[in-house]
Amino acid sequence: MPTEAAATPQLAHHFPSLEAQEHAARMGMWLFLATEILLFTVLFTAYAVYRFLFPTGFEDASKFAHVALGATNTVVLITSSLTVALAIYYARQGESKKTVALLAVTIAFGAAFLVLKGFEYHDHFVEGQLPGRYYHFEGLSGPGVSMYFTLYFLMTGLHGLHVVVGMGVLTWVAVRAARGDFSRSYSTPVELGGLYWHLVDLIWIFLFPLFYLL
Amino acid sequence: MAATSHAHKEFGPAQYLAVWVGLLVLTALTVAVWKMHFSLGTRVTLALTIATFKAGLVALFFMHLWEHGGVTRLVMATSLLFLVLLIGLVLADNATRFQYANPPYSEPWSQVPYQQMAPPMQDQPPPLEAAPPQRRP
Amino acid sequence: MTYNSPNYLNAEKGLRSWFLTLDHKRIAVMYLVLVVAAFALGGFFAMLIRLELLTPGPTIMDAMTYNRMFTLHGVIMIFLFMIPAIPSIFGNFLLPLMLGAEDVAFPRINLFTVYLYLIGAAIAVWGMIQGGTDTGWTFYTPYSTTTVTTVAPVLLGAFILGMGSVLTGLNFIVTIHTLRAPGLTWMRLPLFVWAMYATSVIQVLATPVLGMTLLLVAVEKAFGFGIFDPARGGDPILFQHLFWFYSHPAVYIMVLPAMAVVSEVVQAFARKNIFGYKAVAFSSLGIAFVGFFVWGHHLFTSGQSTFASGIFGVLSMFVGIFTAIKVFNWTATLYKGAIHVAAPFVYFLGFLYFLMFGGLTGIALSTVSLDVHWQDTYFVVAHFHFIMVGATIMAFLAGLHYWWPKMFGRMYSERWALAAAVLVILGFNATFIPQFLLGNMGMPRRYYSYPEQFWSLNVASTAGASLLAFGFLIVLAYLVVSLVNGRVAGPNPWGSRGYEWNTPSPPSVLNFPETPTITRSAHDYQDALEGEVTHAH
Repeated sequence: MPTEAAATPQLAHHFPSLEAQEHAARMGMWLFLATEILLFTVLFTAYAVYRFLFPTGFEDASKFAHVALGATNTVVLITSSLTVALAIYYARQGESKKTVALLAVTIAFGAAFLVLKGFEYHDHFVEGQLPGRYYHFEGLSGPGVSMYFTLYFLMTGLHGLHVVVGMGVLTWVAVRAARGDFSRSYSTPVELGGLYWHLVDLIWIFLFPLFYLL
Repeated sequence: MAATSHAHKEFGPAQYLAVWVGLLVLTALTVAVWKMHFSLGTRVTLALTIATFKAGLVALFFMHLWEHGGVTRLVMATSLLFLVLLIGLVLADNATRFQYANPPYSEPWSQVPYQQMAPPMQDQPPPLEAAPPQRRP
Repeated sequence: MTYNSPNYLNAEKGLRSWFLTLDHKRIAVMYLVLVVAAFALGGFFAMLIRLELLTPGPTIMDAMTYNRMFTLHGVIMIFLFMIPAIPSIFGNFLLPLMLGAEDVAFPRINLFTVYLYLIGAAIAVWGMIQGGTDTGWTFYTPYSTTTVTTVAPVLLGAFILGMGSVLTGLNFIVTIHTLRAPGLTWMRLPLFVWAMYATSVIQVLATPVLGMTLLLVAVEKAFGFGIFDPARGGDPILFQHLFWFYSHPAVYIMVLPAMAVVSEVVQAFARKNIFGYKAVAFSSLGIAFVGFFVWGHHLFTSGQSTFASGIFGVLSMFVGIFTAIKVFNWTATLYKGAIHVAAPFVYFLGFLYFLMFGGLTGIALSTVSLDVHWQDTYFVVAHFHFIMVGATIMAFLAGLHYWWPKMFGRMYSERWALAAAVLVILGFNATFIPQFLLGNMGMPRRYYSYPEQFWSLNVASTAGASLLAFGFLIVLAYLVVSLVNGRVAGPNPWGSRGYEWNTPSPPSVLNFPETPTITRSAHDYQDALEGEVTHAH
């Protein structure tokens, strides 16, 4: 037991093998992602209900969404997903330098996403296209219109928060990779951080059509 | 030792790039569909179908569901099942409700006969600026 | 096997070794202390409520104080006692022992949940006392978003408690999947583990929905975004949907662990294999699954469509099928068993009674036309106190007495335990049977005052509650005394066959000196070889 532990310092005492530990960590991460999906499910349900109740209001309000910015952001996030997937691949190959570089690119994409989102938010703020009682946009009124912006800000806001958290997680993973913590036999944290980032992408893939294209 | 933990078949950069191209094409497609001004039902169906395909690509390849399978797929499938369950049953309620139990001025499709039968509650929608909620007489 | 490591209680000394421990057994003991404290606090507010209802009109408090009291009682009992009680105490203590593992899969996350519990509890209780929250534990909009009292801290506290609950469930699922000892196949798993698995699935899938919903209420109250406000197109009934999507399955987070405990207890005290192992195991998953399809039966009178009410009403009755499967199997296990009457067994009988009575009134309540009459009356109050409180407390006490010698190495006083068990069961009935009658007569819940014709039954209920409280105090007293004075229990005082009894009492730090290989089912009382089962006397 002590010799085995010395050979694989990452192995916790209660797991029989590193492989079992990796399996457990991955399953734990997936269960966590399931809780994230259900967290967003509440908002998706609210969206479905109000979209159903106020089809005209939502259709009119969505004309004020910035499709070009939204589409650009979609491309940004999809590309960042690619770089994360590649980072995981190279981590498994033991090529830490490439991993660090790809993670840095991913974090930069995340920052770009937030900047573009910031421009959008700024425009909506200036126009008064705001949630609930703060809504004072002159160009459009009617039932359900302010609800569109309530949901828009809640859902993209929560998603943006996840982007920030994801950037934090990836930074931590990148620092560890640069420190040389990972090797061909152990790269679980890269994979788990990547999974989280992919989930953020996954949610945006649905937010984009719901708020910009319907 | 190093090889055993990843003995299963794994995708490489070429496959990831192909998935990425696929995602870009689908993004372009969904924007193109939006520009064509279909009817509401068609737009919703197409946009959500395309989004589901994109999500499937991300989940299966980027998130390794294709390779790992087993419990992870079960977890994903279960959470999606409950997503559909919550949205579905809540919508089923809103769609079949007595008109005045839905929020005022809402116009779900099934309520049209009710709206024709019932007198209008108020001429104008309530003001949207900051006003305290008012009780109707 | 020789055990050369010290037992978990003596392994390290000092408070620091407790606060920073990663040992699942010590974490379980910390939860035991915290959860019992929460139960005492919630019980205290319950007694205040019963005192107020001793006479018609104001007795010891005004209406507003009363509203705060039932909110405190509800929030504390549900979020701080019922939901964490059995999973966090017995689940933490027993899962690794039953699986032949050294610990749960993520020990640090396990410790983290204790602190989430502490922080969440502190924020919620402080918020309720300081802010005087008067919404009830259900936080229904639009009242919760327009009341003048402070609601946000309670919502935040419940959110944090929910995070702890999610992480506990996540930890258990991964543990059961990855840390089973060699030879421990799914069909050999103890039934306790099966039911904990089902519970954990609900915790992981449902709790995030509650968390997000409570955050939405907080946002609505703080900023007026209008998401549940009809004046801005919001739908208050949507809140009820989202809330009960968690809170109905939460009932099964409370009662499935109770079923987990009694499935073990019934075999140990009937000295017989469970009747229908697979049926009992899979009906746990069945309850967990069907439990997600029934939340709408809380909304029969709130404006939900009659169509949806009909669907939810019928689906609700399916829960009765899975519960009945279990009840029949437990009863069949007793048949021709060598029954050993001890406190855990008495609590098992109490459990069966409360589950049956509560369950059958539940089927009646899921009938839409009957529910319209009973909705928001004391009938509902009595119903859910029978099924989720009565059944869960019976199982909690059964488990506490059954595993007490394993956890602390000492036997409690059987004579006192039997007396207290009778007192608790009688007290519970005396408290809530009058409430069934009151509800059927039309007395609404959540009012501090009532007309005079309800007086006598309310006096009976308060008297019963006093009896119940007295019973709990006796239990607490003799259990604490037994820690010092109790007879040393030995590894297996009940002659149980469960894997957890293959360890010394209290178990050693690392549970097993080497990973055990499992060669038999956890429930093989009849298949055991001659002389293998030691009978308790």
